[in-house]
Amino acid sequence: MKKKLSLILLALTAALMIGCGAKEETKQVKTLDDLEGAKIGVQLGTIGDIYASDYEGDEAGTVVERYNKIADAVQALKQGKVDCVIVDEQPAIASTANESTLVILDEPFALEEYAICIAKDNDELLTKVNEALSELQADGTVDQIINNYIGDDTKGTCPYVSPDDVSYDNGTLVVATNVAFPPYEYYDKGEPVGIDMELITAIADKLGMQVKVEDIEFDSIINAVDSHKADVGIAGMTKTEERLKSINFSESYVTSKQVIIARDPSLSGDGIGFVDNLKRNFVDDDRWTFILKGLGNTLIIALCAVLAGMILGFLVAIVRVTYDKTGGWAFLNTICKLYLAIIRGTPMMIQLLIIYYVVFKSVSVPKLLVAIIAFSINSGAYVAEIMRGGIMSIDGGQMEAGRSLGLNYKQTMTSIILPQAVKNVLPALGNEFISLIKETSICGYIGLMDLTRGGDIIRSITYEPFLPLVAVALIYLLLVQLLNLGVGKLEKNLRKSEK
Amino acid sequence: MSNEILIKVENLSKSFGDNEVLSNVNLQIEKGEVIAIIGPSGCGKSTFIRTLNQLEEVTGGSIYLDGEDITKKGVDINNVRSRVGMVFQHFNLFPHLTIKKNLTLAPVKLGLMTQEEADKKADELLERVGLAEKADAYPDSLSGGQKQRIAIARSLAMNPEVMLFDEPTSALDPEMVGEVLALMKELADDGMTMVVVTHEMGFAKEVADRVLFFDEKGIKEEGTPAEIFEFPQSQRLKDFLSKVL
Repeated sequence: MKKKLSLILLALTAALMIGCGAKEETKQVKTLDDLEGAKIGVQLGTIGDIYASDYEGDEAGTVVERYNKIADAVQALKQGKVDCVIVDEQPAIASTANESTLVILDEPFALEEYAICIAKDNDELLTKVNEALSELQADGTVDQIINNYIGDDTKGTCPYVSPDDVSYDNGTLVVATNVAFPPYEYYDKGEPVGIDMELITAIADKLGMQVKVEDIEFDSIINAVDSHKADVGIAGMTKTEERLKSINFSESYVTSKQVIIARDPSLSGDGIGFVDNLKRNFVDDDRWTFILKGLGNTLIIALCAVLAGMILGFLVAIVRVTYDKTGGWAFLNTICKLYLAIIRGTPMMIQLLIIYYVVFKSVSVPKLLVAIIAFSINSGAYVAEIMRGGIMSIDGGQMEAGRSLGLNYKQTMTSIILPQAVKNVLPALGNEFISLIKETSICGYIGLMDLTRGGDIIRSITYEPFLPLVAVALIYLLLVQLLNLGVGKLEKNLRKSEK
Repeated sequence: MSNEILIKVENLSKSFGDNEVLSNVNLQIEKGEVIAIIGPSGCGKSTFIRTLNQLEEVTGGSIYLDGEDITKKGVDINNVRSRVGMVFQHFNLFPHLTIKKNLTLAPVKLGLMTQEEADKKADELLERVGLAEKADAYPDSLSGGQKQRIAIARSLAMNPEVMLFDEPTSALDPEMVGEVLALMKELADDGMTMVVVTHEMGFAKEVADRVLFFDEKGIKEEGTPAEIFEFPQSQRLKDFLSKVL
């Protein structure tokens, strides 16, 4: 065990050294003109992305790298993977606060206005939101909220407080956002806060509704609102021609700038100590709770999906084998074959998105349940084929012996064939469960906080790529090792008969 | 030996696709009778014995067990099989169960005995086949001869009316054939009705009441062991005996 551990550590160190050693040729961006021919980093689907795309593929060879999170783009910039990052001003200030080697160019890239997005067929809500917004602008609440987050003198002094007389009679306002965009939305002590969060609360108060925040990927927000998974989307989102084709926008509530972050080689990085870094990533504001909550969800999903997948897989395998051996259940067999073809022929992530956005489009089902259903269905297909192989590998004489004693097909299957088949396929099943545990890391795509997303959230707060990722990786490793241990024990138990 | 007819086969035929392997077979087996079936490979003798408990469905004709046509649709085939024991060439013991569990599984599952009754019966049978000390062992720890003795005990645990043996010694090392044949002889002496497909001519000669020579899709010749082995009539049987004796 010790030897194993040291090997793992060695591998990690090696990977780290390779990661740090690779320095690419870089270009220093000092003015807007330098963008041509540079490598530009942006967050996927943002205005920065749209602007940068105009440069992409020009004669100077400009390249645009699209990241899921601003934090990732900033890290890429720091490590020389891109030459500059185009991003909204406030997140730029927040994300470079702890980065001494990065500067924000004085020259703004573009001006833009943020607005709230609402589904096209929901004019009633659009009107109400606009009314509420103009009232809040008139009485100074909007300025108050912005001042609470921006401006050195006013920061933190004037938070929005819901009036005492608000009645939440009109239900829940589901708000889609991407809580990785300070100061508009970010996590503080595990709660989503920021300008957008306070503003939407103020609007909901006017509407007499209770806010419920759904934290999903930025490029999924419009989808979520369009498919009525959420009522409104608010995430520092700019009104653009392209977006207006699929969604409606409220009046704008704030004007922002797109700015450019670049490296300044004249500045040297003052590295922060490992222990301090550890503290900043996990201890401050109890950030470890993101990991813990995520781990809880990952375990719940994996456990439920393993169990349900086993049952589903067993049933499908039995239908398939029965058809192969006796020709019975032809119709069921066709359905099962179709199921196997579809599930094994498409990526898990697409299945998850389709189940969430298409299958459960108009029904409100908890995301955890959606994930469990999606992973069970997926795992069932693989378990079915593993089990079918296991059943086929059992000598035909076993079935004949069982039947010749007067046991019926089902009795022979359950007390003679399946126990032997399960024993034979246990290693393959263990393998499937290992993949399943790791596969759950895509849950973030439907905004469910699993282990991976827990780490991602910390990264989006601390802008530190290494520690949260490694912590998450180690936890997965530990989970898989525990599973291996369990499967090994079970296998040993079942193999008693071969002594 | 009584003259009660236990099994009656009428005009039985069996084809696999276009390939006819049995044609117009007729046979009556009396209670307590021991029948040996001999014949060259591929003559349909294994297929025939497998039709007797409907592991192979027949293409035409009827098989009566205790006067009931077991080839008819709607007959409770599991009930029929629980009354007809079968011993296979390759033993087909259940490797994931202990020897004792191999014996008690079916009687208990089918509700014929309680676990206690089945355990008691299994102990008696294991004693009888001389393997009492193996009760808690698993099949893979046994020799071939021991496995086949256990397979016989497993069939006997169901208290069958008739026992079918499909080449029970063909997969055994020569030195283990004797112990299995001895057990089968004991069974015969105890009055068990038996149908045995075999290549052991000595066993057929010594133990069988009647020998059937199968060739070309059916029974070519039948008679007492003395008639078959000492006064063979057809050229085919003479050729066959000259090869195996």
